[in-house]
Amino acid sequence: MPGNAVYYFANPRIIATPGALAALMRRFGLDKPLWVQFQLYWANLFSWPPNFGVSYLYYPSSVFSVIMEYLPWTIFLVGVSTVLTAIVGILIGVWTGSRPGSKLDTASVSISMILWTMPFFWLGIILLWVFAITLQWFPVSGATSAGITASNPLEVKDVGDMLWHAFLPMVTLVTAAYAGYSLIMRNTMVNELSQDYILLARAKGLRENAILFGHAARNAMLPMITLIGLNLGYVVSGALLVEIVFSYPGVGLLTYRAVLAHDYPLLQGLFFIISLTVIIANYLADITYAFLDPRIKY
Amino acid sequence: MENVTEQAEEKRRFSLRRASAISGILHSRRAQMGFGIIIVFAVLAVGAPIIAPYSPYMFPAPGRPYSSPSTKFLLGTDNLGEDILSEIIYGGRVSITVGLIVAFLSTGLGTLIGILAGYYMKTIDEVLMRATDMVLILPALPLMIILAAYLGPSVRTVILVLTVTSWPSVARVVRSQTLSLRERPFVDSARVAGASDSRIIAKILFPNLASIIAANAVLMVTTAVVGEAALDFIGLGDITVVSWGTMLYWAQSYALFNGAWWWVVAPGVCIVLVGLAFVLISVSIENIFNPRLRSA
Amino acid sequence: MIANGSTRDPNGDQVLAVRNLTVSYKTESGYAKAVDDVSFTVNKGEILGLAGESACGKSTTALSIMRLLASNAVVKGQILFENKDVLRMSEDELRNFRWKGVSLIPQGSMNSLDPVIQVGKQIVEAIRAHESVSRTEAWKVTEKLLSSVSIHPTRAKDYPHEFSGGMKQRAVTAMALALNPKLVIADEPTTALDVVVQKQLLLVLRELQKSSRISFIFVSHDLSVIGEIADRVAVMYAGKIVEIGRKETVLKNPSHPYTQALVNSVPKVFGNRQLLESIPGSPPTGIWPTGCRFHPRCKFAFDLCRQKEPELQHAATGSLAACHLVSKTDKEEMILK
Repeated sequence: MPGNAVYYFANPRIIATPGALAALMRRFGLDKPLWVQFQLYWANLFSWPPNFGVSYLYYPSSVFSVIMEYLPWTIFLVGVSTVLTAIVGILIGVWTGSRPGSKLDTASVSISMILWTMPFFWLGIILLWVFAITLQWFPVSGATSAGITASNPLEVKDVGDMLWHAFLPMVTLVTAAYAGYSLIMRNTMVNELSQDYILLARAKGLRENAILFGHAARNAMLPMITLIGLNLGYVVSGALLVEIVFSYPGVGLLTYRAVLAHDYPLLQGLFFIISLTVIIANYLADITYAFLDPRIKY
Repeated sequence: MENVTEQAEEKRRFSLRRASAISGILHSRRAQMGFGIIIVFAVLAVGAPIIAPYSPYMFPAPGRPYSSPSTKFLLGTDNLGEDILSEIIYGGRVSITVGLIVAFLSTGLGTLIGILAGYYMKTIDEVLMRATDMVLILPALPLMIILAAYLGPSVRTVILVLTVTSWPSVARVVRSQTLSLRERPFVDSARVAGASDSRIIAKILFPNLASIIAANAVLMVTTAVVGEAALDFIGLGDITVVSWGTMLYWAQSYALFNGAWWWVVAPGVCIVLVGLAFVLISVSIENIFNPRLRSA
Repeated sequence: MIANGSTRDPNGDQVLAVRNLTVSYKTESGYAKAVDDVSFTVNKGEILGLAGESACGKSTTALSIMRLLASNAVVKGQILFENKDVLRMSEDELRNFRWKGVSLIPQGSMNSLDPVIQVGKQIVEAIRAHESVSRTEAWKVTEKLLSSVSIHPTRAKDYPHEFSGGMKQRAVTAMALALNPKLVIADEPTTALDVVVQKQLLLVLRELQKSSRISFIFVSHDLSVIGEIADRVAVMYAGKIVEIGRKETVLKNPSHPYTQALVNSVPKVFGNRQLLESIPGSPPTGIWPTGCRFHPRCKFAFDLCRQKEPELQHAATGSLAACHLVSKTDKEEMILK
């Protein structure tokens, strides 16, 4: 770590007495030898609630409590966005997969390519500028309007207001992320539609929609679930950036502030918790896949 | 002997395939668009001192802050009055260079690890893949942020951090290709003929992997350019250096409430164009070598 | 002329009449004809065998009856079922006709069942697409259907991968009969099965023919299987029917050289040992020879065969055959045993 961490917190020129400086160092455990600090760190991690130390920026709150205030909002944002992205991606994928090579398909693929290269946050800034600042249709920041205090989405009484605030960030996330799903869904659909069981389904006199969704899409969706799990890290990264743009009170915004303030305990805690969450979500996706594919025994 | 003629035949077929492939790429409309865009930006980047109307670091600044696009300042000015067009041209140098370096380093590292793991298998494979998986499973941006926060803000940090988070996916892809190539008869016959491992890797495996590596490397440039922009945007790059990402960093705070939308739009459009260019080239490389994926 | 080839003429009993059917596929390099002016009928309660080598057009012919060809297929002619031309049916009429009027036992039943849906549900789906019955009723019918092909009704809840190959074939057969169709098209149903399972399937089909008077079009390249199951046989070569008639006549007394060669190439289990005959060359793909399409490989070819394409004509045996030899006066000499 560059320099003695305490200096970021307490400007040594202001705190005149060496005693005060030493006291601060004791408080943060920085006076102990390095390897003892290392041991303590791991011991703290595995206690409950996990002790990541105290945040510099939000002193004296512990890192864990600070993160827990912001994490629910991110989970709300990412959770709903992931579901929406999957739905949009699958629908567009089914639709273009059933008519490959058509004008709509080519247009959709081209748009998808452009959206895929577009930085999440740039799209967010553009949307913010057009819809929130210029047209003033949506709020510029926050998860709830001023005056409403809620520490997590479950406590919010005015759901409409909450959704209004979440709308632009979610639209940004969905627009930037759906392209990956829709392209893969499209390719899988083309593959499935050439399979033998589709011929028989058609021979049975089923309606085209029943064949598309009841049979082809059902098979094509299985790899999608794994994809959703794999992409979760990507979506979370995007969400972090989007939160910064929209000043949405999630862990992304928190990370931004922590970086600016050089709040290392907070950063470490954030990294740990975010990574853990993604890993757990990945694991859940794997389980869901095993559950849905009748060919797999778990 | 059978194996010798088989090898010679493979070689001949391979070089024929390669020649037709390269001409195929050059003639594909997508690739032509991609190359076109890259050439434009390359010219701008290399010829920056001549082409750019001003220097982006001029002091005192040439124009009034937040002035809209005009004949004097084609893309307007930023909060200090510097010409945005010049910032774009000079910024392109940094962004594109970072993208290319990261793509080169991460592809190189990933390919090396992938080939070693796939060729030697067993313990080496286990060890290398564990390491790869450990990095792969962590979400990219948080990992980059924490590394960059400790390394301090600079262009070198950005390059390093992007490389570290990008090589695992390349390694995985290269490894699986190597594993399947390994089983082919011409590898066995080379080994029986007494070729050393390094010779096999260099002369046989590598050329066959070339198309996958190329397609991935090109795609990596896009990811790197976007990644660089993201890191700069958060403030982890060197904010005193002008790049498309740092432009967005400053624009985020100052542009919107002062109505300077051109400051936001310009760098983003450039990132999208450059990213798209490399994606198009990568797609056309893939299409040439795997015609089944072609759509209409 | 409708090719019938049988001595009696029960026109009132006709289930299907195919007239001048031509199927071409549109490809990047032009049109490729797969079926060329094919006509035949199927009567009530009879099994018509459609025989020939691979790529002779028999599967295409069979699938075109239900309009199940790929989207780049161009179909001309008439397919008459219950006085309606299938090729000119509307979407709704077509959906109604499929499975209720004519159903299909497809080639490769290994992959013909949706792998992520229970077998029973797929049969129920077929039933409920056409009849307004409750799910429970449809399920009961399904269980009965499965029993009729010797599959225990409790297996209806299983997934396709839990069935053996033979079971899948029987399940698909049961499904084809769910709505009591008038005609069932069986497209190479025995190809992927071992002989024991083959026999079981053929017995099942025979049973159905007798009890419910269902007609079948049995497509196969295996002449011995066709010999066992069919009543009438049509032999196809290069997109055309070259011989059609009663099974005994066609297979024991073939009038067309191709049929004769096919019959001779099947090894006999009993009787004296014989040298196996094979037909030199291979079937034409894409570009067809001038005149009679079989003439390059035919033992008996003469000048006319190269110049003019023979039409289906009545042979002495009662079958119809497309061969110039049939109209030759000294044909007894030409037609060898």
